[in-house]
Amino acid sequence: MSDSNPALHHRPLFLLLLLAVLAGGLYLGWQQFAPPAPPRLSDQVTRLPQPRPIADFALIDHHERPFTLARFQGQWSFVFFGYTHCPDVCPTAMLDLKRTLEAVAAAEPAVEPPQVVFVTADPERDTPAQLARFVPYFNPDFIGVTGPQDQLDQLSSQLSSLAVKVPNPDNPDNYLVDHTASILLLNPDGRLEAIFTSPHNPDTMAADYRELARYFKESS
Amino acid sequence: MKSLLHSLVLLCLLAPVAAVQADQLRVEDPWVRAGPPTARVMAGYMTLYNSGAREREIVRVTSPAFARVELHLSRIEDGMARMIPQEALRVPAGGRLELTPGGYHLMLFDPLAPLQPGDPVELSLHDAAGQVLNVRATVRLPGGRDADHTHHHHD
Ligand SMILES: [Cu+2]
Repeated sequence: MSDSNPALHHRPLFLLLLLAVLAGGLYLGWQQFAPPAPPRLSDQVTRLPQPRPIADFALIDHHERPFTLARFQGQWSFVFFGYTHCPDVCPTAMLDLKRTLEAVAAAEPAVEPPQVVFVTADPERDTPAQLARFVPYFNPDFIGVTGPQDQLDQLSSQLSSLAVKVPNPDNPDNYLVDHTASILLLNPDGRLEAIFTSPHNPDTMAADYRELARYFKESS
Repeated sequence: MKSLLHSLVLLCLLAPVAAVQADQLRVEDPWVRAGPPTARVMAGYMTLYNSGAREREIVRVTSPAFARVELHLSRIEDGMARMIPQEALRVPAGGRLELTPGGYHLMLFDPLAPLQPGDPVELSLHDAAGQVLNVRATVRLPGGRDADHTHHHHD
């Protein structure tokens, strides 16, 4: 083909442009009705195929205010089961959650921040006053929750979490508690949305949370 | 001359003990995790290096800052976080043992006074042969900005 005749070039170029504009329009139109892109998640998180509803419960927070299912509704919640006489795993999880919230807040575009709820696996020692000495140390907005054993059992079993008291024969007052290491994420409907397995990486958790929050908002 | 001889004799008497303690077992970056001022339990971490030809066993740790110290291992088994009391912390010959969050740690019960970040904590590591290694740990938070300033060597 010769470059000497401009007409031979301009006609196909015009058609090509027209096609591109049409395709672009079609794509934009299709996007309006297409479902939002599914969340892209790390392998540290398991998203439930169907968010799991939770039956109501009657617990109490570290301000001695009632803590019921309603407190999980209307906002996202990270939930961790632990105990304040735990010097290693629990402070690590709380610090990871503090850093996750900082990473969520630092990234663009803005998403709504989650609340963090520390539910005791050791109600015998974790009174509201004891929780008040431990939980807000990590972040003044974090909430500590305790209450009757049967109500705690009811909530933890619904969140697939376990706590087992382990006697310490040499040191009976300082018994240990085995507890589920995962951090749970409840969506603003108050349903279990996802489980973050240990070890936790705050940056990854923040990215996963942002994806889940974005998807939830776009699909509701 | 007499005093020099005296010193030499003393040195020869002391040297073997000092050599065993100092040259073979060494601790790096000992620290205690900062926690709420009212914490009844805290955790201590460090890396133990053994340049000797035989395994060293830390069987007991004492501290003037705590009523009681236990040796623990944190482990995740089937999704459960558990702490397992240990009889001893074993540092292999020519190797090392890391005490680190989520792994081996010193479980420090009942601080005699509240501890703040930056405070020193004296720890005495007793080995199976009755030798003692004294270590000064620093209270701090794990990771992050404040971690880099506290690098201590104890020989
Ligand atoms: Cu422990």
